[in-house]
Amino acid sequence: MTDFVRLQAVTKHYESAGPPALDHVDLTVAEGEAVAVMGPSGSGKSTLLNLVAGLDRPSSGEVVVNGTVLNRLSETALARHRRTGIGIVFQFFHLLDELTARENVVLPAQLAGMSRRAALARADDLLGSLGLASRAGAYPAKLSGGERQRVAVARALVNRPRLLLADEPTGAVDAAAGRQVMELLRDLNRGGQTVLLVTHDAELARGCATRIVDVRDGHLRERVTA
Amino acid sequence: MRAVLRAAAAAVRRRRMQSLVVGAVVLLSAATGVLALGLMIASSAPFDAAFARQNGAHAAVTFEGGGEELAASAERTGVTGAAGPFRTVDAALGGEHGDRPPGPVVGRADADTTVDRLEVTGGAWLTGPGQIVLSRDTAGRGRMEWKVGDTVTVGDRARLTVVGIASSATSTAAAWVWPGQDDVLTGDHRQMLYRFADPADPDAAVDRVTAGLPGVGSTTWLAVRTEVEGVIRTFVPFVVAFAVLGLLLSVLIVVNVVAGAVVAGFRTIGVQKSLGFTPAQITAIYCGQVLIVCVPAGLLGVAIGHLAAVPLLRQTSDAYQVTGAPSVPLTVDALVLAGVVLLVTLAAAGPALRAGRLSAVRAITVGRAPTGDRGVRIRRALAALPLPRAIGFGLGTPFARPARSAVTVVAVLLGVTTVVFATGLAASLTRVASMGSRLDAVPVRVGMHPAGPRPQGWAPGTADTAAVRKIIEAQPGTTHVAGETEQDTTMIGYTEPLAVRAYQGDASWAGYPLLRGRWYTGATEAVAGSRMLALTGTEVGDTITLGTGQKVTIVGQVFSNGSDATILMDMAGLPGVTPQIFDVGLAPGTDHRAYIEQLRSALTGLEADAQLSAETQENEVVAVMIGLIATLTVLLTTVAGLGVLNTVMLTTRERVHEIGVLKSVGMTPGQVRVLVLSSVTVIGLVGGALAVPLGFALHGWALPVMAGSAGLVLPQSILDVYEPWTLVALGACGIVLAALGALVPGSWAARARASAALRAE
Repeated sequence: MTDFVRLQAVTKHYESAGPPALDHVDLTVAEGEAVAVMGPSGSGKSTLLNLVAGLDRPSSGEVVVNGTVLNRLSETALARHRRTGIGIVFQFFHLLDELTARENVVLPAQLAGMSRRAALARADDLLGSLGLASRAGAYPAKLSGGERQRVAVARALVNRPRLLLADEPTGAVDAAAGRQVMELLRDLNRGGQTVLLVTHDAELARGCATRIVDVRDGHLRERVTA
Repeated sequence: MRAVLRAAAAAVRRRRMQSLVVGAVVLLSAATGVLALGLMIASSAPFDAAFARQNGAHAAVTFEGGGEELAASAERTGVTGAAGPFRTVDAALGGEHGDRPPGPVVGRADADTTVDRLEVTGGAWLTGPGQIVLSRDTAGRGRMEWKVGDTVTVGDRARLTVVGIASSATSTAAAWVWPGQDDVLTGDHRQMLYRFADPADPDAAVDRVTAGLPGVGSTTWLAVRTEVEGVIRTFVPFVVAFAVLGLLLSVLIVVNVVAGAVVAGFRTIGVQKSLGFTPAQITAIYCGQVLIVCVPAGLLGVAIGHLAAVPLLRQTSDAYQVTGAPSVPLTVDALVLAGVVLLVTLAAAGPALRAGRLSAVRAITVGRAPTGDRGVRIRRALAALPLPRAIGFGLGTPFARPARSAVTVVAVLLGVTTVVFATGLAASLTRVASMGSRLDAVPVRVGMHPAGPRPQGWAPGTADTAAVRKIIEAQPGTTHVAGETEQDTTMIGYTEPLAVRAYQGDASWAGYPLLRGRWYTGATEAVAGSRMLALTGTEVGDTITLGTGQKVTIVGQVFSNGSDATILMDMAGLPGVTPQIFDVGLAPGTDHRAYIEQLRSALTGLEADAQLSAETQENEVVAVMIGLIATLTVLLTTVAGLGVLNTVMLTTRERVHEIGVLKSVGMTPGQVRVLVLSSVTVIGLVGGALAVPLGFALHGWALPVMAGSAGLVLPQSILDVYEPWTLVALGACGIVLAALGALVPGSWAARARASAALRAE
């Protein structure tokens, strides 16, 4: 398998005087893998995810996704990279309140230049496959936590990204919805979707990741999965 | 208290941009406030002080003949005081230090009369015949000044010794002689000086008091004050308008800044309350952060306004020999500073009180983002429109905070109103200058003097005007020629000089817009400039008597922007006068420069010099006004733009999380800029659309008031300066202003790191 994501000697400082959030981290994620990054709060796992997503830049080192060195990209190029190459699922969903579930899903597709009709068709397919066909016209405020997270997953997948990033995807939903999300991620990975997951939920990591790495005080350590 | 001050100072440091905006707008308001109020009060202060000190005459009325009944008129209803009758004559004075134009010479034994108590500023008052006391203006200044002890000739009839210099607040005479000075006081004119119970309408009072008496003319205190104030008063209306716009902007921006600071500081407020700050202390913190900025800015603004008024006020103080530099009274400075500080404190008080009343728990738990679902339906509707996503989101933004958006609309409205008003004002003033200089009608003038420096011993009037006229008329391209001369004379009853511009030949083409009546025909008719009618109280149809004794009927009113009372008449009415200049009208399409070259060549050997009018005409007052208007407009629109910037920055910071989400799903920095700029489009559009009628109305109000202050009536063409396309373009300035204000926040949002934005709550 080829490395789809590669972090090489990546360091990230938020304050020049303080300790680094990530300290000379190396990580690779092969295409089709589901890697879970685990660690306590403040360990640097979300920072790692942000760097891979191009939402932030490393202080030093190199972040390569699908052969593209993200460090060298402009903000506009990074935005385009996020649009088409990456889908992100957040802990708190980050759905836009004034858009319906369908409109939220359509949004990245439209930003990527897909026609409205094609985008709506793709959104309806995704929502249908995630069991949300009847909720497509609902606004986020009317959806349950689990439903919101599934809408967020649909939004992340609308542009058929080769990499799905998930940041504590079960952190803001109840146990039943958490299990649904876990099964969804596992199914996606089994279907070939590359997944990089950040969580402190061991059950989620075990349930859907093919490989687990621990991050603590900015350092990574590979864990052998059972 | 120290904790409150520290917290307020910290807030100022934290919100540097907002503090800068508040400081700028307060400075500007204070400066224009001092300028407006200062000009209004200080322009008439020297006159008002002298008038009160001297118990000045509300009217100086000249009668032809009359005896006991003139003195008895002092008992008539409405008269509270009177002096006279004094014998008077209009006469020119001459002497070693030059000649003076004709003016009223009054026979008066006492300086210290109950009305018009003259102040003898040099020498002494008259003690008998053979003496003369000169007014300050008549005495002159510099090398031409007549001093006590000099001998002057009055109307070629008498040689008198100057014994004193005196001043009359209402300029009731050019000079005073002993009442028995019969060789000077020829004729049968008498002067009465009145004070009225109701001085606000002195013309009506004069009519009542002189009913049945042989009155031939009068000068009122209002006319003299207008004359003394000169053009300063014309600055007042537009400076007041700018000051009011500035103050409104101050209030709006302060409300917005403090309200924004309160919303942005909810958590801080909660923490402060949990630490033991009382509601009053919280309120004081938010008022304090405005006061810390506004007091020094107000002081600086007052100082700037104070200094800016000095050159404008110099001319009125010169008229009254006020010692030292003229300036705005310190009470005005204090009043404006107090007013501005009070106003912004009150503006800050509303949101500051809200901060004080906020419950600690709510303050800590409520985030910065707009709460509830304000405008959600509209935002959803706009987001669903088939528009690029960034635009759809942007258009919906103002509905999330309708109150703040409304305030921003008003900021844009005030900014664009300023632009509309200033554009119209500048266009009108340019037309005033152009019309006053008559450049279009009279592009060429031929002076009856040799070109270049005057030769030794040269005197005017030696050139062969008939020959010059013939040459001009024969020149290809010439359509009109009129000989012109101007001289100061007097008008019986009017104590100030009257400028007579006399024309040889038809001059109705010479660029004087006729406002009322008709052009003069013959030597006994004249048309008058609006200022002459305003200053002398004359109406079209009235017959006036010139100092020469000639009676002239005013048959029309023309626009003339000169500062003197002027009439235009036929040169035939002034015997012995020849043209000093020829006004020349040219056929359309004539090359002015080529024409001048040919004419100069044709005039070789004659004492005449042809020049383009544009090279000889300039209007300094209009230039100063346009400069001031441009400066104030740039400052006010900048402040309005800063107001928009402040609001958009607040809103953008509040929406930073949403922007982070959009960035995370692929919105580019360019699209984020479009989003932010779109968010102010509706605001700019509405503000601009509302500003156009407001600015239009302000122009329609201010210009006639300015003209009225200068004693002018404006032709409609000077008011009609707005073309439909201009108004549309000016309305579009709202979008431009709003967009300019949104540029910085837009760039900030575009640059904001998505990861940081997503962390923001």
